[in-house]
Amino acid sequence: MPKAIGETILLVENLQTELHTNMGVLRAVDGVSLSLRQGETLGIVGESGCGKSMTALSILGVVPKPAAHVVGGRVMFNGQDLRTLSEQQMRRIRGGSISMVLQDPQTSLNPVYTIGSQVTEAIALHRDVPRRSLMARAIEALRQVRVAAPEQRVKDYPHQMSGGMKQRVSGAIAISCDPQVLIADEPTTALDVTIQSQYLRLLREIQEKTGLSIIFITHDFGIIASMCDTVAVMYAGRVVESGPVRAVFDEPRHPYTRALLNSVPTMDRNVKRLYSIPGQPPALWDRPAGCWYRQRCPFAVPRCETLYPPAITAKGTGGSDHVANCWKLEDSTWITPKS
Amino acid sequence: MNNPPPKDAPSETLIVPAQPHSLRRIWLKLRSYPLLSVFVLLVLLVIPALTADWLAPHDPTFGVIMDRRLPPVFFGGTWEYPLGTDRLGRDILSRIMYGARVSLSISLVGIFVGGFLGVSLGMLAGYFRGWTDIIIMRLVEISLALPAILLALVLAAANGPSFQTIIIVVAFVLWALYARQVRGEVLSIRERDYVARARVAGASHFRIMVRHILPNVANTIIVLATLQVGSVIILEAALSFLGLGIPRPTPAWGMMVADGRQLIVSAWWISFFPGLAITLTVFSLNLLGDWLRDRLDPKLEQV
Repeated sequence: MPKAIGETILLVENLQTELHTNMGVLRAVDGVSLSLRQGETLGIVGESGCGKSMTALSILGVVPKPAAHVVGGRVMFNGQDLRTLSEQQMRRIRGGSISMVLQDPQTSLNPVYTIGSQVTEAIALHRDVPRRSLMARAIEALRQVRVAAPEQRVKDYPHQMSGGMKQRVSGAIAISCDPQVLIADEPTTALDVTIQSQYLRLLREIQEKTGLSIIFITHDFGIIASMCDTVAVMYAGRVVESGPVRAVFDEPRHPYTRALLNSVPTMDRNVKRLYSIPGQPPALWDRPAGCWYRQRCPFAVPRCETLYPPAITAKGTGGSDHVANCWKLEDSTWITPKS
Repeated sequence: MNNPPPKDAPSETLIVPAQPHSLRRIWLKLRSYPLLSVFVLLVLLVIPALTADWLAPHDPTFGVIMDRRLPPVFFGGTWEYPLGTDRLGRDILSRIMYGARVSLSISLVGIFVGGFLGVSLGMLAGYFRGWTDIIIMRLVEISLALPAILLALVLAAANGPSFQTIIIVVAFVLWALYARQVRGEVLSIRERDYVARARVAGASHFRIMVRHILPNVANTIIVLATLQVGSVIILEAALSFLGLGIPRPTPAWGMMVADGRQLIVSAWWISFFPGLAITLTVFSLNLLGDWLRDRLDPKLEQV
C-alpha cells in the first residue's frame, strides 16, 4: 500500500552525541543521518546499545545531562535547525511539534497524579485552551486512543490501569497537541503480543487520519515490516544501511542487515538452532580500525581493516535504490547472500 | 470438597501466627492508633500554646516571693500551684504552658526554614548532578561535621541569645539532613520515564522539579519533618540549658530543666515536670512519625 510521497519534514544530518564517562569521551551517536517525510514512518532498528534511543533524545535535545552532549550535526525541522534554537524555543517544539512515546509504560506516568491531570498538563503546556475545556480535550484524546469510558478513566491513577492502558495514555499525551512528528521509542517492547498488535494498529489509524510522521525505534523486524515505509539499520552508533523497507528487506546490502534478518525466528522454516551473530558489537571505547563490523563479518576483505566504508548507493532490481556502508558495494550489484 | 490433609504434610501447614512479645504488642498497638499520640501531643503542646493567655493560672514571669519552691499538689502542695513553684515563686504549670508556645514556634519555624533550604538544595543537587551536586554535597558534609553547639555558641556570642539565633542554629542543623535525603530520592526519581516524558513534552526544569519530582518525595519530607520536631525540642532544650536559648525570663522547657538542676534533691518538681513534658512530646511525635512513615510508604500502598 504505497503512500503518496510527501515532503521531507525532518532531516537529520551527521548528528553526533558524546558521552563523558570514566572511560573518557565516547561517541554514542556518530554521524547519524536520517530523513523523514510527511505522513511516513521511518523505522530505526538495531541491537540494544547501538544508539537508537540516544539518537531520538539527541533530535529533541534532551540527552541525559551531565554525561551526554550533542556535539555536531544538524536537525532540520520545518526549515529551521533545532540545534540552534534556544532551550525556550525547544520546549515549544517538544511535545508540541515533535512528541515522543517512551518504552516503559509502567513508569512513564507519574504515580501521584490522575490520568486526566497528566493529559491536560501536556495540552496546557502547548495549546492555549481555556481551563474549562481542558478536561474535555483530555477525554477526547483518550477516546482517540480507544481508552474505554474515558470520562471515568480520567479520574483514575496510573496504578489502577494495566500496562497496555498506560501505554495508550502515554500515546494520548503524545498526540494530544497534534504533533507533526511522533518519535516512538520501543513503545510496544513491554507489552504482550496481542496488546502490541492492537497498539500498532491504533498508531497506523491515527497516522492515516492525521498525516502524522512517525519515527519508530525497535529491534523487532516484524514491526518494521508492518509499520514502516523506510528503515535505517544502526550499528555501533552509525547508520549502516537505509532505504525503503522492501528494498532493504529483499536485497540487504550490508552483511549486518542480513545477519539481523537471519536471526528473526520464522514459522515457515524448520530450523534447529536460531541464527545468532557471532561476537558482540565493539565497545564504545574500543572501536577497531576500518569497518566496525568486520570482526563479525563473514565477507570481510583486507580493505575492511583499514578504512571505514563510505555510504554507497546500490541499484535495486525493482528500481528502488538504497544506501549501505560496505566495501562490497563497490560492485554495485552485490547483495549479501543468505548464509 | 473436603480433602483430608496428606499424611506426610507437616503439622505447620496451618500457620498459627506467632504471638509477638507482649511489650512489642503494646508498641504495635500504640503505633496503629496515632490518634492517641496526636491527642497527647495536642494536650501537651498545641492547646497550652494557643490558650496559655486565658488558661494559665498565673503569670509565667512573675514570681511570688512568699511562694518559693512550693511542692506540687499531692506532695504537700495546694491547688493554687498544681505542679508547684520554682525558686523564684513562679507557677510551673503556667511556665510549661507558655513554654509549649516557645517549643512549638521554634519547631515549626526552624523545621520550615531548614526544610525549605534543605529540600531546595537537595533537589537541585539530585536533579542537575555534576558540579551543582558536588558543591552542595560538600556543603552538606561541612555542615554535618560542624558541632551545632559550637555554632550556637559563636552565634550567641555575636548576636546574643534570641529567637532568631535559635532558628538559625536549628535550620543549620536540619538542612543538611533534608538535602541528603531528598538528593538520594531525586537521583532515583529523575531516571523514571515520567520525568523523561515531561522533558520530551516540553516541561521546563523548574516545572519538572516542582510538579513532577517534589510530590514524589513529599512523603519522605513529611515523615522527616515529623520525626524532627522531637529532636528540635531537645536541641532547643540543650541550647537553653547552656544559656544560649530563649532569653530570660521567657519560659522555655529546656531552660526550666536547667534551672532546677541544682535543686534536684530538695525540689525535684522544678526539673521533673518540664522534663516530663519534653519526654512525652518527643515520644508522641516519634509515634506519629512512625505511623506516617508506614502509612505513606508507597510500597505498602493499596492497589
